[in-house]
Amino acid sequence: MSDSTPFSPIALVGTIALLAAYLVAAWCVAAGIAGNARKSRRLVQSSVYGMYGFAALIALAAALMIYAFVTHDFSIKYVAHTSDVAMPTTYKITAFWGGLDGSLLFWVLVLSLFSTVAIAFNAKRHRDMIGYVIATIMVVQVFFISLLIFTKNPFATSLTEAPANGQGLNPLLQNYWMVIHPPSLYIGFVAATIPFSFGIGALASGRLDDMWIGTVRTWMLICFGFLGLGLILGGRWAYEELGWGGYWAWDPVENAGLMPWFTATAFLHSAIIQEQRGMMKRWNLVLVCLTFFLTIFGTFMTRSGAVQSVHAFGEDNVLALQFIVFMAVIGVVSVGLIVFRSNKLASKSEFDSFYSREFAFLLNNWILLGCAFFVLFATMFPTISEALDGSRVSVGIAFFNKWMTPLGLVLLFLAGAAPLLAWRKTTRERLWQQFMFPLGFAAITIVVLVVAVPGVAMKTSIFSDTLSLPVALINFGLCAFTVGSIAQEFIRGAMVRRRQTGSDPFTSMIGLVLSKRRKYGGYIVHLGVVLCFVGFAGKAYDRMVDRTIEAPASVEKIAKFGPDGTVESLPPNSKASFAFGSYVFLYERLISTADDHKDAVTAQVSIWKNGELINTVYPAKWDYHRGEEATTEVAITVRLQEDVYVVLTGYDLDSQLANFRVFINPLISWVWIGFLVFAFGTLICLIPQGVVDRLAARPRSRVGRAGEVGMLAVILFGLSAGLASQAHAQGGEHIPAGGGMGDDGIGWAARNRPDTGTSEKAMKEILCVCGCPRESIFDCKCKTAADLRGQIMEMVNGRDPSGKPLFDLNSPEGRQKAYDAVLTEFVSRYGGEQVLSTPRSKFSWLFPSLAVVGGLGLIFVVGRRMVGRGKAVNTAAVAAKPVEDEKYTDKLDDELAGVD
Amino acid sequence: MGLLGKVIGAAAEQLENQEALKPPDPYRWVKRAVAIAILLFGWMFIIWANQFRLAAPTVFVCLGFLAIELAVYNLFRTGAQIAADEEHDDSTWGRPAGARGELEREKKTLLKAIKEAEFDREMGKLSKVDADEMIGLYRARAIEVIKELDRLGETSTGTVREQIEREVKARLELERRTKGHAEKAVEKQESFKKKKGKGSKGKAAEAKATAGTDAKAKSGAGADATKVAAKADADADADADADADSGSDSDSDSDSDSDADAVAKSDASATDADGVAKSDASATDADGVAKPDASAKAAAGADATKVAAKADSDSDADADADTDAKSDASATDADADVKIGAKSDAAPVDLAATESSKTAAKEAAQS
Repeated sequence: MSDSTPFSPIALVGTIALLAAYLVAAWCVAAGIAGNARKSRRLVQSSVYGMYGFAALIALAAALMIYAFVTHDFSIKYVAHTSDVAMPTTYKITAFWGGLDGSLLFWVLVLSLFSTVAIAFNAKRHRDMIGYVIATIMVVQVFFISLLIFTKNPFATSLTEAPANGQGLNPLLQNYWMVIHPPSLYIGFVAATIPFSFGIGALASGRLDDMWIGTVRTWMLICFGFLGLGLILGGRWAYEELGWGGYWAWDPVENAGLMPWFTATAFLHSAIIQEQRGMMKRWNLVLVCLTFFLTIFGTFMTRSGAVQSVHAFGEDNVLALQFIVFMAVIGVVSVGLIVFRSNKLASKSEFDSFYSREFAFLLNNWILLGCAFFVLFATMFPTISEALDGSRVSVGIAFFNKWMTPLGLVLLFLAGAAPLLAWRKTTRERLWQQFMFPLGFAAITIVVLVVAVPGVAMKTSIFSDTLSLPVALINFGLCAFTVGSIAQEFIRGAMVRRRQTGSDPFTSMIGLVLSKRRKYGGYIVHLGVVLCFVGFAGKAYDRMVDRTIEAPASVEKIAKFGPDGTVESLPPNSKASFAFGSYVFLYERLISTADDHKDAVTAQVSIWKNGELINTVYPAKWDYHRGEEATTEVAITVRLQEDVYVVLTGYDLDSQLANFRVFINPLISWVWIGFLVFAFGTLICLIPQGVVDRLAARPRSRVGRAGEVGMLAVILFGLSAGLASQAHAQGGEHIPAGGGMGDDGIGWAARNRPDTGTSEKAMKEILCVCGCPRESIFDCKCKTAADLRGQIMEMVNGRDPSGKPLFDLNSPEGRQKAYDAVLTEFVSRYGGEQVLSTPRSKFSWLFPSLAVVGGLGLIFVVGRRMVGRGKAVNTAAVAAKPVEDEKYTDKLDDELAGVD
Repeated sequence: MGLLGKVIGAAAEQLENQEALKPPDPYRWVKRAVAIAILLFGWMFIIWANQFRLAAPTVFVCLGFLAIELAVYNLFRTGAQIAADEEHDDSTWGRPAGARGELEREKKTLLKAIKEAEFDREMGKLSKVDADEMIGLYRARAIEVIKELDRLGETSTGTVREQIEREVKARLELERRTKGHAEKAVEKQESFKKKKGKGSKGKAAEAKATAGTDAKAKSGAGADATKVAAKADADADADADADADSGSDSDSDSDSDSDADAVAKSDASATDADGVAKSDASATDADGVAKPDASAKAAAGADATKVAAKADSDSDADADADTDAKSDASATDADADVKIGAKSDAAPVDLAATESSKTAAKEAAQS
């Protein structure tokens, strides 16, 4: 060691802690497997305590890492790379998971804490498999910790002298979203390990009865809840931070969290079938293993550089290879064990009818799985395409939306229809009785919307450009159908309970929800999803405008009203104002400030409606002293019917010229409100039986019981609201420094805006090549996009030497021809389809088409066989029905009396 | 083997609660106090070293110290488990509950399905005909399952009444078997008389043979009774007292908790079946301290008694008193051994029981 090589005791102790944890994890794997295989309590107990010790060692490593951050130990490379002295302490702590190495350590930490809780609660109950469970968890830990030790050691020190200051955290990550968004996604990912471990434990031990499913369901619900939270917070972060007016761009990192969410949702439904009917054991194990596999796959995608993303950590081939090997091991072990135990996984029952709840759940499972695989396929398509024939393609938002929209609508319908069906079979008369109210409610909603809201039946293309339907209107109709269905379930259920218990309607409703928490909590989750879909539908009606204002109102105000004039007194038709939608925006002044970290330029804009001021907003641009990129701080005026979203896209401090982009986003608030309801429903599903027993057991007055239930509801709602309260953040955006202004002093975003529908359509289809996160040149605010927009307009409006227009833009054929010509020109200019948002390769359409058609066919064919078998079994059972023994009949009735 | 399996099953059932039933470590408060003192001392030192400034670095060093203490403690326990005496390991630990568990869960699923179908009918989703047909099928299967559970006699749920019924049934069965065995014994005695044809020791031999076969028969029955008690035991809790009282005359004043009580009393009946001077041993049992795994002990004890009695009946006995004394001693030994073994787990129970049975048999043969 040379004299200049820095020595860090923190790094030394941290590395020793990791090495010790590695050894302990390896011991736990061996002791757990041997313990259960030999039925040795000592070995299993040793592995349990070893796991607790492992968690403590990892906690020690994490504490040391954070200590290094807060004490500026820049001799540790990771600390120097992701923090600096000037950062606030909160961001220094969150920088722990801001980079790849630290995020892996954070993953191990979260998994160790989760597994400690899971094992502490289940070690005795599942003693015949707990050794295998621990071994599985610890194999995962061994993998991640070996990455930490051998490939991405966060405690690695510099070989040269430690820098005086660090490089600092990416400005995009310096907001409090980084405190809550990544951890929630990590927790969702990590929570999937616990069900997987119990699944593998059940397979290894051969204990494949329904006992394990209860534990697994709880943890899968936690996984589902946290993944949902992570995804929605990610959406909110993108909405407030990235400044493009949307919240979901099908980015690979977002998709990495969405795929396991789909499979976890599928499992939560099919687990009910196993519990109710003893069916789908094999399928449930497949879903448990698949969910875990997808979490690892998602981690692989974002950390190996297999796909390009704004959030990804960059390319790393060594890491990619390690992940591939690990995924192969997971696949082989899971499939091998499921095949090995196949004979123990036979269903106890069969499907009796297509019109049954279990069949609706099966359909829902197929669609959810289809969604997961479609997202996987589309996310990986650029990589697959490049690997297959070397051609580079891009998959943009439009392609995802075309396929996912119809699939989502089918799921929405099933969310409303499945609760109306009975287990086993529903007769046609009953079917009609059940569906009458929800269908009627949906029909009335559609009629009222068509009559009252002009333009609501706007058509959107699905699957391909040739098929256009009023998707948003259908969406509203299905939302109404599902709300009607849920309301009917609650009202009728409460009435039945009231008849059974003789209590008042309120108590009956509360009793109903608490006694059937999973069912009615699930309905509340469905209600949350419906509200989210209302928000999604609003996306079809959003509008955007770019405006350049040469001088703020204050300049005019002084000239016009003198120094005592107030801004409010200005007429909205001032030159500093512009109208958009039903609003008038008045640019009042430009403010330049600076602090230790950044220079900030902020515009003051007032928003008027019908002559009244409704808000004053401050969109801004921040230029961090150490950051490479300036960030844009958006200003959002939140309203239930629509958000007004103002972005400062360019400015000139000398002339006070400012360039604005304004979005009107209808109904978007319902996405966040929907998530609140979703979280509330999930928490209801997670209420332990002990709490319910406590509420039910004590003889209390009605008021007392209502008070307790009310308190529980307040706690649950408070938790939901607490999570949602995070939904107010600062924003920042990938914007080149320099105010984004063109040579002529006008912001790039406002230059060359489309003058025809054909130009706009082409601009939305062509992706910008400036390095932005797959934005179209219609949306991107850079100079390159502005230039390309200009070229497109020239092409579309081009004329031949005789002065005749090249394309007849008055006819549909002419417009299509112009559109195709532009796309062909760009593909040829950039040497591939990577500039297109929607891949034109036949393979990209073939796979999803085959999947949808094949899936439906398979469901129909397999379903018919299953139903046929079920009917035969049912007939035989009815024929062979034994006469009930009177003694046992009484006994059964006694037992039934104790079931709520 | 059947009995052994059931004993193991019952022991495995009880193991869930074994930790809680273990006598508490008398030094646990001292240990906890020391751990907290070390933690507090460490924290105070860290805060002192940082001049009592409670900033972020100090907090994370304190957390790191807590992590170190937890790591050391748990890693010590990890090693201590391995270093623990191997004899204390438990071969039944981690065994699945078996068919009973499966049936219990199936029953639970069926009960829920019946309730759900009834609820669907009330909600109007199912017509009465469909619902009745569906519920009928579920009920039929549920009754099958309950019957099967009763047949296994290991149902973990049940009211006090059900458990008493089971106990009474077991008693009747015991009586029936005892009668049968006694008749056989008389036959055997007849043939023995014919074989020996001796006058002087005939009386003693007759008495011995009767006692021996009796003992054999009764110890078998005792094992049955124990089995019943063990089953009732597994889940009975307070109900067990009632069971025990109904099944035994002795030591009904004993009020030690549930399981131990019931089994001890069954044990008493088993020992009683041996006919002679065994009430002491059983009384000791009944009054005995905590017997978390009393079911295993009782069953094994009965087994041992059976073996010992068998040995007795085959031995060439000279005196009634001697034989009785030995069979009594053997039964007591077996019990004592079992108690020691059973405290840790069930496998040693069997081993200990077998071992003590052998010893008892040996002694009886020698006599």
